[in-house]
Amino acid sequence: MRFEPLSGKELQLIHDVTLKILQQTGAVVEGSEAREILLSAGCLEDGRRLLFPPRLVEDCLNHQVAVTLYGVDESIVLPLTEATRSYTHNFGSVSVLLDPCDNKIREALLQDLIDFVRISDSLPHPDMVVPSLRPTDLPEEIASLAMTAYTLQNTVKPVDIGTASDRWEISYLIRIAAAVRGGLQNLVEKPMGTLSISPLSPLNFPADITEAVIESARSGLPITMLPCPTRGLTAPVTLVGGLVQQNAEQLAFLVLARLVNSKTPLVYTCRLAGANMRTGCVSGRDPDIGFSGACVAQLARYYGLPSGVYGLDTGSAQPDLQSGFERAINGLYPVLAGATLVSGMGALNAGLLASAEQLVIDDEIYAMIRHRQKGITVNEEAIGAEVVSAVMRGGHFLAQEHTRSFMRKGEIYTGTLGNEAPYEEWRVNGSVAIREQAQEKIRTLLANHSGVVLDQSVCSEIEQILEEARIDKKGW
Amino acid sequence: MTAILQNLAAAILGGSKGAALEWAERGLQSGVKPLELINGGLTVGLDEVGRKFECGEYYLPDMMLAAEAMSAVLEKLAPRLDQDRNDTAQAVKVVIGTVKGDLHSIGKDIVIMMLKAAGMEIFDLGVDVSSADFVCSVEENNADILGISALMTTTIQEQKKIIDLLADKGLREKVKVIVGGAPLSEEWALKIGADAYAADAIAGVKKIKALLNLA
Repeated sequence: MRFEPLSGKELQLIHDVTLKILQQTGAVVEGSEAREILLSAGCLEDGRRLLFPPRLVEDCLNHQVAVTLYGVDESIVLPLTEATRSYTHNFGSVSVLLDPCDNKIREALLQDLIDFVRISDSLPHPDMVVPSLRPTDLPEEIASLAMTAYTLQNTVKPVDIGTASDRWEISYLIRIAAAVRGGLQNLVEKPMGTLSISPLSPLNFPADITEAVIESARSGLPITMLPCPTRGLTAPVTLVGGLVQQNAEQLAFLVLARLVNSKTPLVYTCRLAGANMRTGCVSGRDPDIGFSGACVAQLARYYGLPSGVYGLDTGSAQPDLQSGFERAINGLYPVLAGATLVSGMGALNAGLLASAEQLVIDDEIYAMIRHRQKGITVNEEAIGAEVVSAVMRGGHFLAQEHTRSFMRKGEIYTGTLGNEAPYEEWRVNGSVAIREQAQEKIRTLLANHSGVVLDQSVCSEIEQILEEARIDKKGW
Repeated sequence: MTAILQNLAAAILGGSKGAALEWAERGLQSGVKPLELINGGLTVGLDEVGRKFECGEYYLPDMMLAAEAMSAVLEKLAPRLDQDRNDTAQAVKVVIGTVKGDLHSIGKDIVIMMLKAAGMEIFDLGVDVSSADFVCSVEENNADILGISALMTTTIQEQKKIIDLLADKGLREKVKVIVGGAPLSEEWALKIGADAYAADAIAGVKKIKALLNLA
């Protein structure tokens, strides 16, 4: 069962127009090494912009490279390219959180990051953990690296290695991740996540970004190509216009990465959002976030690449009713479209505010969304005509083996959060709201988490790398 | 003359650069003074744009197109403005830019467009601006307002550096500092010693006016 908003013809048209944009308008590419690589491969120079011949783009698209991620515990495997369902994960890089204790916002601290990671580690539905909170009590110059380091120490799941904005950060992120795997070669063989790099929209690759792409591609680690255009501000206002522009950004990125290393595993990820046309701010209250995610998933599949999109999103500043319906709508589209990685768990306010309560509630939302992602199996056994016959002759559905066995296989959804008791029963039991349930669950999950998952020696090695980075950064 | 001015105002209101330039040209040919075109046409149109924006009828693209039409006419009129123009009143001076390491310009550009429409003089330093360049421009231009934009959680620290440097150079009391950018908060602005924080461009313009007691 798949929701596919674009027809084959429409995908072809999007691809053709993308190639035309890359050929006629091209992209701003800075950094002498990147320019040299692209020019010698046949790109043409037009001032700061480079024009990409369609043939070059098509050639680079022809390399098929499978992407598979492994948990910090290597027995957990996420085959992104061969995924048969969507994988879900939390938001990234937020420095303000909604404190469940007093419902006020405050700056995130290291302990908050550790708690968020441990909650994500314990919940069943986050398949991957992204370094989520940016703690303000760490030395600012190494905050990005520390986020990854402390995330890796507190979950057995796959971990996004980090979002990097320059070559320096990439090199240290790789060292930290390699320490966890016991060496770079092991890391490349079994990466626990990708390196994420965002070009600027529209079609702009500054020197720091191209250097980061080159460094990452050389390492052989998987890269998340992450354009984040905003319709009406940094991309055409139409959904399809935004889709085509980000596609051009993806393909320009892909060409550079594949020219550096033709075996670079790539994830086609996009955060295409709409703008509030009165404030100029990105809108979280926008059903097109989910819908464009569905289109991005289809485009990625068209190129044989795994996809990453935003799912759960909201404009609301509280884990409230508004957040609930906006997340459900935005989460449903991309999962039904077969997106590989779907983000957003635990974020409010268009991704600017973190909430542990929301993270726990999101686990329930994704459980519901994923419940029928694969549709239903229609066969004689599942239909169970003989069960109807048996009951009609004087039996009870509850007493059928068919009922018990399919119930065990998850045929009827069983939630873990929220209420379904009749009003009086709910009132007598203390009128517990879902946020209170979530707070209770947070306490339980944190109390039962086994703590740091890495050996002490690995943790010390990571601390050493962080210290080295802190000193190194001052001279950089 | 009244018809020409009305048509010029309407062209600004509709955000039509072509029509605005045409009515300005007609005005000049019929002997209307440039200053009359500005005061009786452009400003009237722009005031109406502001009113429509305030009441929710106009959106950012309406504002942007009106501002562009106005800029085109002003550019055309500039060489013909009399030397003895009477607008000797000093315009408010605003130095604005995006911090070092941050290449995001769109939010800053929207603020600039709205401040220009409010008649302020803008010194746009662009993006990836060092703290030294911010402070230098404040000093050189004797700015009333310094606007500092940062869009990434990784770059907002730069805002503090700039404010600290202003203090080091003894300039902190001479200029009001307003900070903006998606990851920011009122608390952050307070912590780094800014005078104001704005969540979006509309709030930004209001807060700048409030800082200067113009509201």
